[in-house]
Amino acid sequence: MNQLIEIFSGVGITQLTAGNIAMWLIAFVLFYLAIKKGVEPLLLVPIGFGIFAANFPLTGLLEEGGLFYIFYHYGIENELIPPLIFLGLGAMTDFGPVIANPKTLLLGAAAQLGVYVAFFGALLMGFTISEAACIGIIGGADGPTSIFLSANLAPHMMGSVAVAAYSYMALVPIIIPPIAKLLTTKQERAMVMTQMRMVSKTEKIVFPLLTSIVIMLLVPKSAPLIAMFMLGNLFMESGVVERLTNVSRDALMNIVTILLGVGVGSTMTAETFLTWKTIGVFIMGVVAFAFATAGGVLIAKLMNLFTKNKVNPLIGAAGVSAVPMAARVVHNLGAEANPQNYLLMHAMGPNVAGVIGTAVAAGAFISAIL
Amino acid sequence: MVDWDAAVRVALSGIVSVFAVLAVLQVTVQVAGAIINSQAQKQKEKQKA
Repeated sequence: MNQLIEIFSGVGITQLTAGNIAMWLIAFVLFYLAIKKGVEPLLLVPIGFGIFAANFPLTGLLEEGGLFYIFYHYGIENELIPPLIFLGLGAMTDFGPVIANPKTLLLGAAAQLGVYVAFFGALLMGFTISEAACIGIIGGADGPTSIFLSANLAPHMMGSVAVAAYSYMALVPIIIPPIAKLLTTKQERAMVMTQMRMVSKTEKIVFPLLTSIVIMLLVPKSAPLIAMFMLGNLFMESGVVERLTNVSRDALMNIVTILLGVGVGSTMTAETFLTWKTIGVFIMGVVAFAFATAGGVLIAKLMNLFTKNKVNPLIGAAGVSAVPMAARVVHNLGAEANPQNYLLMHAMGPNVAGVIGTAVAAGAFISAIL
Repeated sequence: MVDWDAAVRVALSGIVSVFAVLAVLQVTVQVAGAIINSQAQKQKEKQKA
């Protein structure tokens, strides 16, 4: 009899809890969103499967030495994977629009205002300073940066922060238009911007070096993200390391995306995810996004009061990162107000500046809190 | 209990850092662009001459 009990106690089904089943359901929702609705499938499929597999009892996946433990500990906790994702992003990003119109960098900064509004909102909801910083950074609409900051400041919240960040990034076409329309007149949205100047190859090669010098000297804690972002960009712009460029944006990017997704998903066990804090993360995440959009638009309007070459205030809304979806949404809004309006390349400036701005904001949080 | 002094310090240092860093970067990119373009222009004029 004792032997029988021993055998059964080693079978997973006898240890299954209601919490495990609830987490499976959450994983199935992510699969549905990714597969049926096309919401960030590259991330939500591996994250969903990470949640699904991590919530089987007795597998040992999450114990020290277990497979998911290795993904998480060596890949995410040790801050390896988010910078590698940035390497791939750098090898895909054209900074031409920022170089042609450097004041769009300020619009990328303006969109970070949402990060700080959500930071205070989260504090009012009872989160600690470290947790509030991780929630605020969702407003930067940058998944790898959110994960990087959570790994540093609040690892227990990484799963919910990552899922909120990627979910809201997919909702950019729903979140940006009402806020941008509310804060601009039709005349402002219809404004046609002057054509951007041509950017030389030399300028594009110098940009990643200059950016590295400025940012890593002023906010050293953002170095892991910025260094790899700029290295990837230098690969691409130099034109002499095609193999490295291709591997950074294709094979390596795909491999680390799998490890990142499964590693983040595996942190979402019933005990850590099924808490009131997760609901708070999702509420403040959307607040962060909304204020980030508003910040970009309002600062663009403010800039227009003092500068000769006016910008269409809509492009400020693209500062929330979510490259290139936010820029496309802004372009469509401009074209809706004036079919002659072609804002896509103009909006790419604040869009990629937003990625830099979010990495700087994350570095500033780490410097101030740790 | 939230330490509001610390929270305000974190937020202010963050906002100032983000705007200061990107403003410095803006000026640097503008200056570098002007130098690179003027050098390229001079090179062109030399070649023409």
